[in-house]
Amino acid sequence: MKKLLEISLGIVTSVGGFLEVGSMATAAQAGATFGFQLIWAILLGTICIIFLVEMAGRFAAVSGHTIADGIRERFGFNAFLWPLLATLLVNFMVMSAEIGGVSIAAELATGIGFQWWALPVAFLAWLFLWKGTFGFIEKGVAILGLVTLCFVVGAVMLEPDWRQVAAGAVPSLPGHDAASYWFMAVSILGASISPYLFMFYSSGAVEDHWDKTYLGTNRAIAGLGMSFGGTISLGVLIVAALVLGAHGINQVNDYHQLPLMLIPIFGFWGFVLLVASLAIACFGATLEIGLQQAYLVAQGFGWTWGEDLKPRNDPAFCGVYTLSLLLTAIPIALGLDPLKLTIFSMAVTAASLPLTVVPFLILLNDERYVGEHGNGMISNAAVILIVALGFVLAVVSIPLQILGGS
Amino acid sequence: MDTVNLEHLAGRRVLSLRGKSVGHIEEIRAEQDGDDMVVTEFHVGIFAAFERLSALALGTAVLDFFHLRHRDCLYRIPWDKIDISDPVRPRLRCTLEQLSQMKGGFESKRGAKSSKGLGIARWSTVLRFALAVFLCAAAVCAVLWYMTAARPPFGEQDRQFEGPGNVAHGKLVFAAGDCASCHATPGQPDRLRLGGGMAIASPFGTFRPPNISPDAVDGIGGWTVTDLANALIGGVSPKRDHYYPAFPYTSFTSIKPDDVKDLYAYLKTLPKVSGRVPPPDPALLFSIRRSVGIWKLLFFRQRSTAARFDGDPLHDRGAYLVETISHCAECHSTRNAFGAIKPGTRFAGGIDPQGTGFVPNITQDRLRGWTENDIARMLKTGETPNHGRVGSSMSDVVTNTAMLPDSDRQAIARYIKGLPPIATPRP
Amino acid sequence: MDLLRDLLDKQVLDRKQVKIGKVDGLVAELRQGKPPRVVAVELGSITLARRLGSRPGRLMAWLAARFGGERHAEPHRIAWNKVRNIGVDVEVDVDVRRTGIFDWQDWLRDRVIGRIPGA
Repeated sequence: MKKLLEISLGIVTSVGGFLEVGSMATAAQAGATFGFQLIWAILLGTICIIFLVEMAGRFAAVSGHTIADGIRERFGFNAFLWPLLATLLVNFMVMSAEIGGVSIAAELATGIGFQWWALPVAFLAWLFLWKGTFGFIEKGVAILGLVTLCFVVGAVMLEPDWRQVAAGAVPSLPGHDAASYWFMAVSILGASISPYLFMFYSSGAVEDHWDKTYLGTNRAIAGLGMSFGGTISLGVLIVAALVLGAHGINQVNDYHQLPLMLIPIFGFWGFVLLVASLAIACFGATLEIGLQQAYLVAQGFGWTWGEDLKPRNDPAFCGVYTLSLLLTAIPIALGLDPLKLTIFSMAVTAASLPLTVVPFLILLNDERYVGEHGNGMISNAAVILIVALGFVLAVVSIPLQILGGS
Repeated sequence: MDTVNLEHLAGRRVLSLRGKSVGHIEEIRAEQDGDDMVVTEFHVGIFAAFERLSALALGTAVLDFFHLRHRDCLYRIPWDKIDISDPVRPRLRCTLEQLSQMKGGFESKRGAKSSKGLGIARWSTVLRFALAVFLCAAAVCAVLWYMTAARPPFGEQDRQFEGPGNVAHGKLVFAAGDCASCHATPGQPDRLRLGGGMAIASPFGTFRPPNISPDAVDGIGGWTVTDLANALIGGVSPKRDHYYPAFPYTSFTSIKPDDVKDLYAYLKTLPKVSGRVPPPDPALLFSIRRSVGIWKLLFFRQRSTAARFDGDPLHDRGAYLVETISHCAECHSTRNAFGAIKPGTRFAGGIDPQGTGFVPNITQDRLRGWTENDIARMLKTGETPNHGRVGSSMSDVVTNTAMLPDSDRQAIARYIKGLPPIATPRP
Repeated sequence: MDLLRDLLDKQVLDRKQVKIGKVDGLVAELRQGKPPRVVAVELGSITLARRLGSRPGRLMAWLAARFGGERHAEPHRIAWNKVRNIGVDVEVDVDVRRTGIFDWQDWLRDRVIGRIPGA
């Protein structure tokens, strides 16, 4: 019974981690522009993150190490510097996008321009990290995050042609806008396979003192939780495809188009639900990424870390998240368009994945760390293939997108 | 003791006696020898790296896949066969023939060590550098922009400035603050016509005190009392610009709110003067107002004061007058390269920032022979104890201090007498 | 033992299980006719920067000396005979508060973090 509770809580938590501004924005864009055609990207991304999260949890449970620790020890600091810098940079961009997402939700709710909200949002997030404990943040945010289920409900209520939805699960060549098609595919992959997500997960497992008895729990949480998250992304895509397409919007290039998505289904409450979903999902992600930045730096340099410690006892750790919250709020406060930033940072995430995932895979095949719980052939192959696909697509399509300009 | 840092050996290329590369050091093996841990072997070659990463099978498969396995893959070299006295440039101490007998247990075809990786390394250095520079620059700019914004310390609704001010008392604040010396229109006798415009030359450019008469268009007639408070205490204009510190808000910043209120009431009673002064002509560095924000970050602490209080009401009144309202230190100190007062030279005199001479030291280093009454009399009459008269800008100051009640001049004198002696800095 | 694999860059815990950093460097004594002997492990930003190259190393040493004083101009060393247990983490028989390793964190706490309400 206790295990069951733990698993369900874990699933809810991972949904909270999965669904953030990146997933919502990329899925909405893809749905509006290409209908159901990009569903395969969400599926691939979800499969990949299921594997990665499961590995991260397994690694932490068996070895007692977080991923950052492991990479540093095994590859040496000089090699570790690369994934560290890449992840810090990517996290910075994504976190900025998340703050932008909350700010947009606040703008939709109040009518006051989003850039004014960036600093207050960052401050509120900082307050949560400053005063909160790990469990409070993890669980509180996750349970509120269930509001995003409204997208799944909406998708079902719209009664899409399920055969067409299934057809979208098979990759197909685009009929128009090839460059933006592949760029969107990359962004979706990047949004689903966030490095912060599985790195955060491993830190969380260490903070929660997981051991080998948690391997089954871990598998259930990773599999069900991430599928759950993927389903919600799918819901967003379906709703966007049906509603926005019907309104003649085939390109989402402004956040103000988003509320339209749920209004035809739920009326005024659709607007409220969308604002709430956006705000909660992005705020949760802001907290997690902020924490992840601090984990990463502290673990990378061997400092003391832990969200449950009082700031006074862990000044360096708290300093890192304080500083990163402040810095990431600045681009939004200066008026950078959160939607553009989101899409772009998701594509960059996909491009940076090999740097973090490859060393991680090697660790998971190292008996000294994971003993007999090493990776099987299938998980190795699946992750390598998907990450390689994301990387190649990113390297090709990011320049195209920048040059082609949208 | 001759020591060496072993971590520098990791990944270093080992050169043979003839300067040819034999591979990179990937592992250093050590063994317990009694109480000591001693280095026994160096492992060189790509397979040593695979071994270290526990990725032998994977690595071999990858190498085979790309047909790259034509290199010497693993040497286990005893400690005495490599010279590590310079860990950045390890050198082989034996011949290549001897080396070939130290091969590890992996089948390998003969072949020269490829120099792959050099191009990548150079690229990555450039990229790493560019990324670091860009990130730092962006971060610094963003932080500076945020931190240098002019934020008025008081909102319009601030309760502490509510209610009418006392005009008579405001007149004394005005006199003690020596406002007229700078803000009175030059070239006419009425010191209460505050049209501004006197040129103040400084190493940082020419500044002209603005019109602070109650004229609604050209003066400060449109100001609220909080605007005045924000200017005096925060150095921030109603348009949310920084004031140049030629305006001594660095001292005024600790002014009491009631004094602001009274001063405001008094300024309202003065004659309106029309006409604006030309804009300041600051040196290039400060021509962007925002840069004053940086200066303030470095040298300005809002609402702080250098005054020392000792509980004696007369002395403490003097401290407030000298350090805050009358801003004596602004002239009687030496300034640093950025135009801020060097704390160690406060009141010890120095070169006049306007470049018109030398401002005297007023610490006990020079004023030992003066009594409190001497100082008070000087502030009233301008006469010094040795039957001279104060000159230049101090004579303007005395015009104002002469209007203060005797007790205030006595208070100033008491505080000045209490200043610890500091030698006059050499110009 | 394989020094690079088993020791370098591992987490270091002090006597009270406080995470004090990682093994950033290993110091060996060169002896005439005898194998080099490991005498100390080094911790801290100077050692770390030196691994990135001599220029970053000099820069970091200068910075450390500039801001931390003479005491911090050299990397922190822990003698080899203080190293107790080398497993997942490296445990040393040292009390971190008696070393200068956490000086900068103390500074950060006293000057910045500790001044924010609720710390």
